[in-house]
Amino acid sequence: MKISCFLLLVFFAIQTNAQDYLTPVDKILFKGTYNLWYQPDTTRPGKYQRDKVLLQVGENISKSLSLNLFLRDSIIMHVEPSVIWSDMRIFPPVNFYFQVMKNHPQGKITTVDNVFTDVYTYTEAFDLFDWVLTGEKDSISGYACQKATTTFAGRDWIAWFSPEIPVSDGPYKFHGLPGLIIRIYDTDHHYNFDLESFRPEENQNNVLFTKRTLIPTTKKVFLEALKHFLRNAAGSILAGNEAMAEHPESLERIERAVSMFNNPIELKAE
Amino acid sequence: MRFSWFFCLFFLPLQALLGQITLEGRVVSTQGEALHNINILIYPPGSNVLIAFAVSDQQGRWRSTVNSAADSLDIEASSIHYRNERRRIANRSQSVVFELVYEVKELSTFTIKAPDIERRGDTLSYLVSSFAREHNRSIADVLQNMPGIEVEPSGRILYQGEPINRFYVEGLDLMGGRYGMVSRNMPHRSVAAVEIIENHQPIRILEERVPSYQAALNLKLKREITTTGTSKLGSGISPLLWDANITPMTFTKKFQVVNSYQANNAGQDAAKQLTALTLQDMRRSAGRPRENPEMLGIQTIAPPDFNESRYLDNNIHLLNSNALLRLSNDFQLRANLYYINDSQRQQGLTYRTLYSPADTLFFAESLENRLHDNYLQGEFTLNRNVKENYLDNKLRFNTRWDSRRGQLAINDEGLGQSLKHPFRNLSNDLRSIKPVGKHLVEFMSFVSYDHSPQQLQVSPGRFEQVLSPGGEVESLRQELDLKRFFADHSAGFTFGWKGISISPRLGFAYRNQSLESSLWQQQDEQWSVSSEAFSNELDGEHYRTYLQTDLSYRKNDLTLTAGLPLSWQHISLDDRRLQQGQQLSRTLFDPRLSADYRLSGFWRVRGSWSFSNSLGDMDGVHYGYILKNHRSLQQNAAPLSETKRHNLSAFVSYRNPITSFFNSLTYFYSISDYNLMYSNQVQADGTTILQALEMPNTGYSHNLTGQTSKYFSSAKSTVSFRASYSHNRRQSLLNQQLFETSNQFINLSPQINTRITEWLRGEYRANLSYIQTYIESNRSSNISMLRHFLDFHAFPRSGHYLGLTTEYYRHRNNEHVFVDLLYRYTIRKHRVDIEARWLNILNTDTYTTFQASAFSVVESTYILRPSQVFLSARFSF
Repeated sequence: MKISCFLLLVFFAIQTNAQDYLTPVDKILFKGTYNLWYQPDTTRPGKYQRDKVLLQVGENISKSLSLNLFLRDSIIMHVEPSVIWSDMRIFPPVNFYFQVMKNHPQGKITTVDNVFTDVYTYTEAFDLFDWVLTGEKDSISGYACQKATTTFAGRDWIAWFSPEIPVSDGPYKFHGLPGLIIRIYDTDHHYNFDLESFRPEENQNNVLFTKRTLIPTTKKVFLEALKHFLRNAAGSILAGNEAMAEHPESLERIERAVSMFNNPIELKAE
Repeated sequence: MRFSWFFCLFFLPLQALLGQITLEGRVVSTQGEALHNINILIYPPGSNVLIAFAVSDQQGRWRSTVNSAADSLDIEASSIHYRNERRRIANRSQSVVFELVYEVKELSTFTIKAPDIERRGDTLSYLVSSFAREHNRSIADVLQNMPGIEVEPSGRILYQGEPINRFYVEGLDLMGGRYGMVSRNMPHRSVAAVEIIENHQPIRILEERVPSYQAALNLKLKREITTTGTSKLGSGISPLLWDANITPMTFTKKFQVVNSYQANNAGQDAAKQLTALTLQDMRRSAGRPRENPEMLGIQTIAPPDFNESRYLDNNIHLLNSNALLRLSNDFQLRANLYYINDSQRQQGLTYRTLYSPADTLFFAESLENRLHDNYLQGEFTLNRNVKENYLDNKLRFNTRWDSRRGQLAINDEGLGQSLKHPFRNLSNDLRSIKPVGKHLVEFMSFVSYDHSPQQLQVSPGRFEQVLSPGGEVESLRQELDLKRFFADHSAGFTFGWKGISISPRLGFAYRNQSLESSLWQQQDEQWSVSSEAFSNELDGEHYRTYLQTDLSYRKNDLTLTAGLPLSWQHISLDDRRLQQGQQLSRTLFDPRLSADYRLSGFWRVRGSWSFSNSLGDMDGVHYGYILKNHRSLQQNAAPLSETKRHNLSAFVSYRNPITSFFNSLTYFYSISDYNLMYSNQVQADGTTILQALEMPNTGYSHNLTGQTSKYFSSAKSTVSFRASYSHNRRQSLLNQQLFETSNQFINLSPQINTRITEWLRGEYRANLSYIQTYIESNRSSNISMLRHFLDFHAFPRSGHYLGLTTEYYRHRNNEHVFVDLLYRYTIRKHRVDIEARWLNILNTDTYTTFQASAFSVVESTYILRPSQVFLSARFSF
């Protein structure tokens, strides 16, 4: 109830204020929500966190990002919806900052992602995945699905897709199967996406792309920067904010907290 | 036969190879347009198990390889907007063209139920018994095991990686943000379930209007009454040292209590917890009278700017009690009480040098102070938090009674000083939110009254030349009584217009105070009141009506903010006895503008300008003289101080996170126009008569700070350098001479921070300061200070921490070296912390610092605590 009330507000915001911060690049045809259960810390197996990842499918372009990032962006655009209390924490917690734009520009995948507070962007070829079909079939929520496997960014992935939904797309960068990906996970079960809902977009909403200034780079450099930060968060933070040196124990704590997220979805560039 | 087998074996792989065919083709619409994103599905004939597929590209082309033994294949084109088409083709490489017919399709909604823990609405419930492990003791231990919940070493609880916004026990919030005291000490066996309330907006009227993404945590208890607690005990030597903390608590569903007793003589200022608790919103407290009007004082020594446990010679006892009672009609009443009893001793030496164009005056003083303070504070909060409105009313009182004594030797002459400045304050702070039309309006009210009768006695008497020319004064006693009343009421809301968010707030503030003072002098063992010039009977009133409007505008990488506070103020001061007074009316506009722009991913610039008119505090005006401390007799019979100030600031930064190279440069400039000049009349014995005179003058201040740092990943080290320069110039009036003074301050600070091994971190930094004072462009003083710091932090194994800190100070010709050692062992399983500290290992006994102002330099030497060893343990019971 609260959420839906708020979502209304958010969609209103997009219609009134979108041009300032985000540019429409396509019209949304379908919107899907995946539940993502992931293990942030490999040293604590079985300790899962949950997040939601959206998939907005347009005529030509599709976008995938976490629900909270989507909500946060919407709030930023809306400035303050008659809120008196500027000191309140009105922003949702964002665990994943990726925004994957498929076929934008044409024939490419553009990813926007953060390392700590810095926002990077890089492009990859559209044809990222080499899927191998298996003959295994199963029914998930009444939809006939078939299993396919691939190797991507250092993990082996198993996808269940449904040709009954002829949308060749999925969460994050995953796509390219002849039907919507209903469930996808890596063989270690570190990242597990499960489709929660998928439905046509009834409101006239657009696939939006950020207009903010980004740091252009390559995926290799991005993953290096991320690895670098995760391995030595203290050093990276210190270089940006030397006052932290006066608090060795809190620095150690931050480093420990960062070390609890040591399991990014992409382990290596191809 | 044999031959044919061989033939088969030979040709089988080839046959399979021959079985791999390539299908390719195009997909077009009936109008001949190329169609992209069309799924091409390839099945064995009559089957629904896919064996190959393709997706058409922008040109409508597709291509797929198929490996099948069947003699034919089923091929299907499937998409959102076109009718599916399925054909049977022969199993051989060929080109297949689909011409698809447009069709509007219904894509029915489908939902997959997420595998969830027991959920109802926004609340997630965890059964404690199913998550508790053998060695777990407190509820915080069990929280660690619950998926999605984490507990940081500080005790802070996170849900889905974000801190919770409320910690309730049976739906009641007793401790506010200091819930760690409860979570760490509540045995898990008392708790039936942990509830996580997602998206919890603690103010219920905002529930449907202001989204919250933080979760709250609620503990559901098993029993009606739960009693538990914790304790920490520590002891050390030279002299006997102790540090104790005992915290028992009781919870019921209608009534909750947490109590705490803390005491130490180990240099830990337990009273600090009090200030940390009352973290206030800066915007709300602006314009209020100073919290503690210390008009009179005994002379103290500037405390060293390092760890207080090296110098604070204390004996403190702190009692804290928190209780919450649930009343009918959704009202809650909460009481938080603190009592502090603190005795402190200060010892040291000061050397004061005063510079004027004509001569230089020098004074040496040694002193020993004993301070005994008692402080009692109570806060009663009445809260009603329902859907229709929000009300939060805090009634607060605080009272202090104290006695402070000091013995001074000035150029080898003794002087005694003693002060009593009890203080009583009562205040009420109300915040309420109500819907008015379509907006929510926030009302705020603050009312406060305080009374501080103060008494300072100095013997032998001073200022004989003005008080009793030719005669000798044995003692002086300044009596002062200040009563203040302050009320501030305002209402505000926020709305948006064309991308600009506008937050107006209209308010009215009123202040009324009375100051009475008289100076008594003892001559020939007879006390008599000094002449009228040394007394005050001043009434003051201050009215302030204000309209504060904040605007903010954001577009892409540019953020503009403006504050347009407008106020109408009227001040009247009237001294009945001295027949003096003043009236002042002002309309003040204090605009401020700032712009922030990101040029690219790496560069960022910021600039701001503000103009402020500040009226001085009424506490500063008095027509009669007041003996502020043993060496300062002050009169401020001038108009109220008014300062007009332009502030300009500029900031540019270059941050490249890819190369870990960070740089910034900040420049700050201000011009201040003052209407008053303070005349200092320094006597031969070091006492000063200070008078405010109406004499407009201008002060200038520049500050430039640059910083650069780089992280070298190969050496696992961060190297940084920081430099700052500031220059202040203004006029001074000393012994009837008007002259220009300027100060120059240069600070250089290099630093290197390195990770020597996985478990050892080292840090070195130095700090060089140069302070120069110029009188009429002649350098009158030049001070340099040099400090080196070398620290090692070791984490040899999980739960162990060893820290070694060394510091070297060189101020002029004084050298000081400090070495401290700290070892901490955390037995996580039993939640026991054992800590050993050896402070001031080299037993350094004094520390000297310098303070420079416009025309004076003060050198202070503080006597420190001796070397001490301290052992402590913390555990729950």
